[in-house]
Amino acid sequence: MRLNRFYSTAICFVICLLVCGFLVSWRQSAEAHQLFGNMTYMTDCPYVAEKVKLVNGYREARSGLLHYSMCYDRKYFYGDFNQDGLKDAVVVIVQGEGHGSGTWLAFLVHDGKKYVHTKSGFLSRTAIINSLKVKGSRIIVDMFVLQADDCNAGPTGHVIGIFDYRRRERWMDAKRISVKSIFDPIILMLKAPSSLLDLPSWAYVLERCKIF
Amino acid sequence: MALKRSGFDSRWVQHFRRQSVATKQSSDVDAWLERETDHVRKALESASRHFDGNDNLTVNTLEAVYARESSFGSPTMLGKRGSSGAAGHFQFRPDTAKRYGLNVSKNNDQRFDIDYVSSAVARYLKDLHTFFSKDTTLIGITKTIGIKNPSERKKFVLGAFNAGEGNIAKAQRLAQKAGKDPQLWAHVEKFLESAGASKTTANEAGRYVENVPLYESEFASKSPADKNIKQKEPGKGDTRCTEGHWRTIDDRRVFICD
Repeated sequence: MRLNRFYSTAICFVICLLVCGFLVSWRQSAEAHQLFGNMTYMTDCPYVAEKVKLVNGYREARSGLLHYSMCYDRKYFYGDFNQDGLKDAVVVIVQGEGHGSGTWLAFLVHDGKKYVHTKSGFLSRTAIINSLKVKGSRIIVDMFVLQADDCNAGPTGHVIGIFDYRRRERWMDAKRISVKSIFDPIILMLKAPSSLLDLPSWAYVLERCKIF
Repeated sequence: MALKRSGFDSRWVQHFRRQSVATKQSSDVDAWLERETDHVRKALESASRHFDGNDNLTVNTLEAVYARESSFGSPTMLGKRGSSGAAGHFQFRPDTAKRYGLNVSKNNDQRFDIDYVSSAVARYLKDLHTFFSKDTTLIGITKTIGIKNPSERKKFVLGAFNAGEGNIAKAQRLAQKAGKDPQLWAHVEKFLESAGASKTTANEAGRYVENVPLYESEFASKSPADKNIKQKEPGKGDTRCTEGHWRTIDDRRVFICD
């Protein structure tokens, strides 16, 4: 009887810990979204707007017949890539001018008081990020990007993109290493489970991945 | 040594191999046409009413763009409703969609409604055609250079649809400065990177302009879509079709330009 009470208390304690952990991480990510979704970023379209301050993760600027837009894609990663001992951040943003758009990493350096957008790295027009790691000054991204003959909505090129923050350019392209994995279609399927019901698109994915 | 697979795995592999073989026997266009339902075809035909005798855009242009953007609305490819990035049948960004009168929200995202979005795409293509028909000031010193040759002009329209009209206009000016012909896509596309587009975007725009007309000509010969719905008379004036209102005609939502 006493043992049962011990077990039930232990289970309650573990559940409480898990719930607390979830609430803390949820609150932290909500605060991060609030911060990064309302920051000032540089644009790659200076003839419309040199900088934009996002409001609730989105901003549109117009000039003449042209318009420019930027949105925060609710993905962020931390790491000290300028190696000054402060926690910097990498944020995924999407920039668009007219119909043309691109997915970028914005490198945000912490200057002791706030985050400042210093450099950017181009991923692809549409990119699916599997993971991102910061190792020293290098930012390593495992992702799917558009490759030849992909439709714009379906990036199937599995690559590892490497950015070196020490590079001088403000707008960087990644050094890309191609990866071909038997698991690529499975990863794509998990990211879009509806594809299970859509076998022709499976054939499409397989053909594009050139696995078999 | 052969890789040993589980029964489940090998069943899937066999299925996918069969599918791959099946798709290789016919072209991509055939596979897309199999996906084109009556509803989709009618939506595209209806949207082609925004084209007229001044342009060489047709319902087949819309079909080719639809194929290139989302593989004819494959559910794997569409993205999330209310997404702040490109999403929906034609991979429209929210701001472009809003500019052309569409709602973009989690509960009501008209980028996923083929009737609404095809109309918006047709109007956007028509506007781009207007920009590249004669010199047009987009902003400040960023001006397009009018293209006289209709087939060349179409390349610029598709390039602008993919990479943004500002980048193309800037590349035209750079090509002109370098002594190249700003009315030839082959010359202008080489200046896309200098105009501010990333290397990948520039390469992709080149492939887009190359592939979409090929798809279009194949759709023209194979698609049952009615090409005669497009207005035959040249349109009057070059007003943009971003302002207007939606009306229901024959149970379809149609955008009437003001």
